[in-house]
Amino acid sequence: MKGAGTRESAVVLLPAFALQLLCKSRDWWGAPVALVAEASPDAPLLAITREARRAGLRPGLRQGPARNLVPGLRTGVVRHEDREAVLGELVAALQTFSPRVARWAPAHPSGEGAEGSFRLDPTGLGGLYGGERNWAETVHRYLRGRGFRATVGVGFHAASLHAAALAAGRPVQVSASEEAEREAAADVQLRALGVPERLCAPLERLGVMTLGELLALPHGELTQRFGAEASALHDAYAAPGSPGARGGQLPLQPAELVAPRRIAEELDPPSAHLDRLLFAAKRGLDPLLAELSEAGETARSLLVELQLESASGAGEPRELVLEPAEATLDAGTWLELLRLKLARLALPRPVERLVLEAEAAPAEGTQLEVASGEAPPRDVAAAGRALARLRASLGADAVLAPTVASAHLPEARSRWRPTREVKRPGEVAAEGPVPLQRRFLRPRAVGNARDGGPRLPGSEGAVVLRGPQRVSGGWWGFAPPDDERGDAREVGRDYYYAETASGGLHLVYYDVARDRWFTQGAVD
Amino acid sequence: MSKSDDWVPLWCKSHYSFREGASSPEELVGRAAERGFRALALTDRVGLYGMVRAHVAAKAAGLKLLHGAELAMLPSSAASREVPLGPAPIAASEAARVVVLARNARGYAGLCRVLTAAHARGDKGEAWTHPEDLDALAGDAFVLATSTEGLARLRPVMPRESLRALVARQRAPGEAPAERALRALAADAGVDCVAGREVLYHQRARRPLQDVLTCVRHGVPLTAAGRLLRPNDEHDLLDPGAFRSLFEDDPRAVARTAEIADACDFDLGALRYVYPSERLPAGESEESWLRHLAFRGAARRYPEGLPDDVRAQLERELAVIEDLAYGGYFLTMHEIVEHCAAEGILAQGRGSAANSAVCFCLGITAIDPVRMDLLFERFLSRERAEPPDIDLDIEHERREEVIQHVYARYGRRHSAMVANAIRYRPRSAVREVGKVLGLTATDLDGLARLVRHRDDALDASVLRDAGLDPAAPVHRHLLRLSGMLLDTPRHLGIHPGGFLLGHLPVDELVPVEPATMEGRTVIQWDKYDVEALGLFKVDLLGLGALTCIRKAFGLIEEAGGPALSIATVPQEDPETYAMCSRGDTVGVFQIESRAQMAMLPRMKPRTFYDLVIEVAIVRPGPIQGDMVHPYLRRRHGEEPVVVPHPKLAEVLAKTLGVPIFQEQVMKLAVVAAGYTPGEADQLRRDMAAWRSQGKIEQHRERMLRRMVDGGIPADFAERVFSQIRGFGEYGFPESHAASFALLAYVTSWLKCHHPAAFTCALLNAQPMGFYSPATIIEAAKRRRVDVLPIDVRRSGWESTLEATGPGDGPRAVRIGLGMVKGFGVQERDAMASWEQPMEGLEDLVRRSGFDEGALLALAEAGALEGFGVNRRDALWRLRGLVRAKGDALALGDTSQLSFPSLGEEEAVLWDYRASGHSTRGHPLGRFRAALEAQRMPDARRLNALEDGARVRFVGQVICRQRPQTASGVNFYTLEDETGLVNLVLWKQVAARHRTVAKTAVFLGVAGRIQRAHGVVHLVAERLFAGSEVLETAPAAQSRGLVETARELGRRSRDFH
Repeated sequence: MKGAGTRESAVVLLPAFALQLLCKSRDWWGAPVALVAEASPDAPLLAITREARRAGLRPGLRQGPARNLVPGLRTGVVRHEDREAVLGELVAALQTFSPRVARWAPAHPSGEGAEGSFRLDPTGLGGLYGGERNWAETVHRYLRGRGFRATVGVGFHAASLHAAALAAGRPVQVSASEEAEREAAADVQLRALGVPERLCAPLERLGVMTLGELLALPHGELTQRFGAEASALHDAYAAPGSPGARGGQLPLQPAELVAPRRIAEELDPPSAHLDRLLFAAKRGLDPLLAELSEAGETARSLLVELQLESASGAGEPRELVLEPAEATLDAGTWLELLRLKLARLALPRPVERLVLEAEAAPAEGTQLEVASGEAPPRDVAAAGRALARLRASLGADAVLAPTVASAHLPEARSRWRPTREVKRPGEVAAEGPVPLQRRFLRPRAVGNARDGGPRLPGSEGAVVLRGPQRVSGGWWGFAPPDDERGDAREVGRDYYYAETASGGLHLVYYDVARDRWFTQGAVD
Repeated sequence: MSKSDDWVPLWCKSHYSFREGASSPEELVGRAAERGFRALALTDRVGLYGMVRAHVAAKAAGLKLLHGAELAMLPSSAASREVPLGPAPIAASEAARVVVLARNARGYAGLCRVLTAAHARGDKGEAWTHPEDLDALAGDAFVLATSTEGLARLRPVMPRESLRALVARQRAPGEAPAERALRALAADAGVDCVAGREVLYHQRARRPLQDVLTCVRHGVPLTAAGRLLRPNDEHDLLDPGAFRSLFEDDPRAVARTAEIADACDFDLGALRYVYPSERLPAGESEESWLRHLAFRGAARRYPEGLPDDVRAQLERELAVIEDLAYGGYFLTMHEIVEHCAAEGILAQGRGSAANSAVCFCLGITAIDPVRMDLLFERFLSRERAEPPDIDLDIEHERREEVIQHVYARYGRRHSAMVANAIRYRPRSAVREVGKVLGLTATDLDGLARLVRHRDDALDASVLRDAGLDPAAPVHRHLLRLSGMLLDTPRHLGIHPGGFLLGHLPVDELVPVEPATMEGRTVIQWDKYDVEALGLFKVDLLGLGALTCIRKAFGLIEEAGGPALSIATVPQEDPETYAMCSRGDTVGVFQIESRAQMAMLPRMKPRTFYDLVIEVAIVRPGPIQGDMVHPYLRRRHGEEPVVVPHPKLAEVLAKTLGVPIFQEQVMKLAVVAAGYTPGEADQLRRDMAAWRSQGKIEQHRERMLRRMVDGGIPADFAERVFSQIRGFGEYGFPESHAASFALLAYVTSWLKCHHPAAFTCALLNAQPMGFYSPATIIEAAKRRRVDVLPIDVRRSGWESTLEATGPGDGPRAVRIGLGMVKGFGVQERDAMASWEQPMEGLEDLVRRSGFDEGALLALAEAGALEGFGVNRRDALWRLRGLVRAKGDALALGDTSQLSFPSLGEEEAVLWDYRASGHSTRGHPLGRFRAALEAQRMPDARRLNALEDGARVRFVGQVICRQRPQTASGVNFYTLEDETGLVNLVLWKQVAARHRTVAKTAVFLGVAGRIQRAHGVVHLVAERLFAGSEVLETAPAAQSRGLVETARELGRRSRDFH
């Protein structure tokens, strides 16, 4: 039971989180750096480092002029997914210091802009770490070790602690008393709290610059004039007992402890035999897939870790990734893919432990078409499964699909690209009728020098050439000519249909730059 | 090379086929002549945009030009629809294209009509033709179908004699079967085939540019363009021999091209153009009526009797006008001027028209050319027989009324505005090519910033400065291709005010397109084309100064003063000249810039002609020609007035032996360099032509040699030539300078004698001029004009004059609500319905019709303080009242909350933020004590310091300039509550303090005073952020100062 007056809140603040990430990922610490939302020269600087500020830059300035002013300025974008990935990792890491961790920023009731700010429950942890300050310092050391600049605060009320920690700007901030915490919080500028500009600016016009001044406004009148957002902000920081106050003690909504869908099977004695490995996998797969099914999920991919027997005792892992055509809970499909993978694998030592880790995906309603009797005559799913087996057997890039491209050169018009899915015929874009040709993937040389003509199979006699059609271009891939007469290395081809004495019809071209003849294919 | 008589290219597109053709009409014509063609057809896509240039070039080269265009037929599936489907086609696969060639004048007029109709159907830039449109061209034009679809659709409507199948061979894949199909259909229809080639450039080296243009048109980079690009470079003007080989299987088709060329018998020079006749009183001819009006006007201009020399001049001019049959044009201009007068719109002719006594007497111009000794021949002469060019300035707010009057009077088919081809400039060329080559937007932006001006060469050093590798192939392509793209036309714009009027419908002279601006139509030729063909153009230009003058006259009269006009403003007023001589000219037309202000104390104008020189001398021409200092030294008696050669004495007499005006340069060419009048006129054209440096250079050797041979010192000859070169873009003729000087004088007089009315009018005429409203108001306050803040109870939409006491005493300027930032048409219209003054906040919320944003803006601007409520309280209460507005019960404000009033310095900054100015003080005024404590003088004291004095100063930057003539020197204008300071910033100092120089709102300068001839400059040695000094002041402790000051940074007008 938590008593009044106990320090039951903790916050971790990573100021300018995205900028920190940028500097960290590019090793730009100590340089003038600015975070931008996009690469456009008109994009405003969202956050800048101290060095950039010293050089005279300010957030809000556009990237183009800023780079003009400070030629050494480095700018970069941090993608949302990258930020989210790191934030997710940080939550998981902080969960090792407190079981209850949430991403949280009281100045953003709507939840926006909460990145880099965490609320933790430190209850009882002081005893483990030799005091709350020690706990906070440990957390701070950890974050510093990961290359982050952070403030860790421990205090009484999460919201006021958050503000007080911001104001203090020290690595570790432990509130001496509730009153001191509130006083420190009251002096914090609304802007420093990260209150959105749309709310901050009109409040500043009224002379309401600090949290204390905001809290002094009558709650009802504030709500009437500035709406729900201002009301929520007021509520978040208001002292317990005041109108609308949540006392900064909103129940913490901790991030779920995500245990990986993972299961391990021991092989005793260790074995490299395929069947034994598959049986072991089957033993693990059944409960793993059942667990997913119970959670309304399915498996998108499966990581199979084979820990090999080792004299040192620490198994040497080998990892296999299984990816079916579509997410499935069918153990047979997974085992078939695993069998194909294992069959290609030469294991130096027996496997002593097998770990299965599933990547889950929400289960969707399937087979509706079958239920309605409107299933298409071609079973695309089956084709997908077959391809998945091929990939598992021959490698991830083993399955290629032809794609049509807009290009003048015949060999550039169709390309083979790795694919994971099978499309119905109607889904493939076509560009008009394709001449009936047997086309070579790469042109084949069939003669030197223009005058010599092409030497084609069965062309002991004269070859009749019809054409030419001329294809030239690609100049931009080469250095421009000094005399503006065309670069000899540009593509320049004269295409002909060549009729041989034996009646064969070939598509040939004379390559101007190489002074050679090539054949591109034949007409059936 | 021998003349080839067997192939005439019938399908050639120049770069006036916007973003498709890659050579100019001149290049195509030049190449054709060089290769021995006897004729060539220009057939740009859906237009005759480049026809005049091709016509002029063909005349010079002795080549026959065929007049035509490529048309796109509306897809047959949509033939019945009025709305076109998608953008105009570019590739053969996209639409049926036909080439139309005019056989005779009727065919040309018909083609113009067809093109006009095609453009009227599409959106801007699109044009679609129905096959039925071409029906009317039968017998007068050849129609060449380039595809089976086109031929199939034309066959039912065109007689076979006028129809041909154009078999074009570019060696493209798929071409052969298409040709077979076209030939088969032609044979079936009994239509002859002609050989051809779709020419897009004059030589193959332009193929990369054509690829780039294709990418620009489709908005894709080269690497993704695929088959949008042409498959090869077979779109050049092929050598006749090679073309014969190409069609060796069908020489008859080649020969038919020559037969078509022979059958076409139309020359653009033979266009029958008749100026529209004015409605004349019974029994009057144009000449007699013009004479009558001119002498009637003369009687008004010279109420004390017409002087003999004026009468003689009028007679002489009328005789020339009659000989040239130009009377109708003068009557038109007179009618427009009369219309303006009747509607109370101020208008005044400028340019060479001011040389004409007839124009003066008709009221078109306001300068007496006889008294000014101006040269009529500069305006009109029998020898040149060119149409007169009268530019009419009209107060800018009401110009559209006059434009619509012209449309209404002459009719839509008889009047259209002149085009202005928008061309690629250095920046846009670099950006477009860079995008196509796949450079990143940020790299391109950095590069484009370094090529601001036309003279900024894009070379390897610029690439290095932008952090790009000059050796990389992609960057070398960028250099080469952006150079090729520079100055090529991008799209058609509209001339600021040029009209083409015709007695016959204009759309039979040239195709007419709807302009982007509603209610306007535009022809496909620009002013140079119109001039080259000798057509009459009426220029109706907008001028803010006239708006200001008209409003000032109105305010003076409303306040019980005299009814004034430009003509009745007292002349040669010593007080006005004294004010100008002090450089106290903020807001004065033409002489308010920093450079002019610096010149005025040296010039010390005392007569109107001094002002004429003042207007003309601070121009790049005289500055680059090094004419300014010699003139000033001679004016002050510091050097003798020496004319380099006696024969130049008459030419240079008025300007103390120094050539300043364009006319003088022309006369010098005649007198000193022995130019014939024709050569001198060509020189004038070459000076006036846009980007004419190349043309001017052609005169260099000839002029210098002839001048030196004629006894003119070489250095003087060199200076004269430098000035000619400078005049190329920025030279003033004397008559033009005189017209502008008159407005400069009138606005000076108003500022001197009616400063309140002038300030009020100037504010109401914004945006115009050189300075922001804040600077105008500060300047007025320094002239002891009372300026009252915006008050919702008293202010109108515009600023007004308000009595400061009973009777006709002094008047103060009350700033209007229109100055509140963000206020626009919506608020102005809402205000128009206010019948009673607002009585309080609740009344305002109920009756004003303003939305919440506007109400809050009023509160921020201090416009509600008259209700006895401070700005913060007003903001708080308004938010509450607006929320309660929809309640059924009466509004009521129950809040007991009160916020502290703004401090004085805060109030000033709030004023600036909300309305861009403050009547309460200057932002720096509140920091004066702190600045003085650091021994920094104000502007007034700084301007009184001795030459060489060292000083530190903090001022608000209101203008940053880097003139092209100043070799990289920056000129800043700083302002504080006592006046302006001219700052000179040498290149090295600016580079050393780059960030602060470009971003500081309040700029700190440590430097040295430079004083000469009463002109004071502060020459910077070191810069610092003025805000650092200000933040140490007690006033700076006010909240929000720093943020607000940062917002004020937008005030500076930067001209880099």
